[in-house]
Amino acid sequence: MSGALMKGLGPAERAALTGALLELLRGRALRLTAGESSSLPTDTAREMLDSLAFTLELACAGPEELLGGGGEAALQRGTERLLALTEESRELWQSACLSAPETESLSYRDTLRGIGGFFRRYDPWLFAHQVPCEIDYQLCLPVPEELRGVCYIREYLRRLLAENVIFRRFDRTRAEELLAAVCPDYRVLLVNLCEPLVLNACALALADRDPAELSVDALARARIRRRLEGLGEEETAREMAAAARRAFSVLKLTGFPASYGEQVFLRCRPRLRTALVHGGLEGLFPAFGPDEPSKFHQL
Amino acid sequence: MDEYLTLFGGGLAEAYRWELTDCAALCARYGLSLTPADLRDLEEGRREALAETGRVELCGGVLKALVCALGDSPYLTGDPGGTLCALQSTFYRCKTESGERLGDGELAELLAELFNGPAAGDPEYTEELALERCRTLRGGQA
Repeated sequence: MSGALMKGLGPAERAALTGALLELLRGRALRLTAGESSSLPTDTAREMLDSLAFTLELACAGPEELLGGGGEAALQRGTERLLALTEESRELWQSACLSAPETESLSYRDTLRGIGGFFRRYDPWLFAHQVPCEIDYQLCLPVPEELRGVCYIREYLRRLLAENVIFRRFDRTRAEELLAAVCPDYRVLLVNLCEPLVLNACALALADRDPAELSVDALARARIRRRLEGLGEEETAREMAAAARRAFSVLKLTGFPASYGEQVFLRCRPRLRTALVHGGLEGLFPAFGPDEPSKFHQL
Repeated sequence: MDEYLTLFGGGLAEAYRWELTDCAALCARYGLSLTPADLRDLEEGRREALAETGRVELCGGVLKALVCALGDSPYLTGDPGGTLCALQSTFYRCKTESGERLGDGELAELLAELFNGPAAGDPEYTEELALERCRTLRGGQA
């Protein structure tokens, strides 16, 4: 943002823009210190400047507006947007809490609790770009790092909610059996609850089986192999996307959760291609149940 | 972001020059005079103190607050520029040491109280006592 604002400006304009930003920073510093301090630790000033840049970016403020004395108005606009996003995120968080899988997961529970603290600690006026909470739970598809502050939280929660919707389409006992087959300590380790379900459901669709079964047995793996062996990158991706759509149609998943799930499945394509060449499909799409010992037991 | 802070430094140098001019006028009211060499030393000292304590000035400086608090000190004689320069550095060290718990006015008053009282006009002893107070303050409120 800092570079973007200065881009294409001559020395005089750069100096003027710097002055305008300094005025905005001063105003925020006055707010921080209640007007009682003329200096700040450099780290704090740097953070506040980062926050200013983030807020102005949200407000789509350009150099013309800032040079024309519209800095405060742009900041106000950006802050209002941040407040609206915070409210939206709070609602997403409440929905995520209500739809959270009943399956035990320490990191999932701690993360939801931590995000609850975000709404108490987040400061959209002075440190808008910060994410003041611990997020341990790993999503199937991580939130892009360039998203900051409440924008990061909102996107995290949007994805988490999609994962909740996906998770709830499956029978809980079968889901937990699959998770235990993937990682026996999934309850206490940083294991995503949704990814194994998506992968196995879509893999079953690839084998023309019911995605709700969740267990990918030897027969299903053989069918997957026959279907994909010898296909190029693009054809494999097409087959995988079509299988994901079939699976989610059977599971009655639509909208963002369905497109999210499809991306999750497509992301495993490199691993799937390696498994097709070198073996190891059972590691990618594990089986479970009384007749199907987990890969850990097979060891 | 650091690029901005550096650029701000340029803009703030101008603000600080105004602060120095005001400060010289304020000193004159107390019958103290600052030479051009004093003003240069104060500017240089401020830059060094800020760098040493990892701080950035957004509104010029703290000299006016110091002169207001110390202008009538019986110990501010002989080399007022040198003393103010030393206390300016002490000010920024204390600001950081207190964990931002003291406002500029409060800190200037504290320095004046120590400088005029137990330190009897010794800037080094003033700093020693002030830093001790600031550490206690931070420890007590942590």
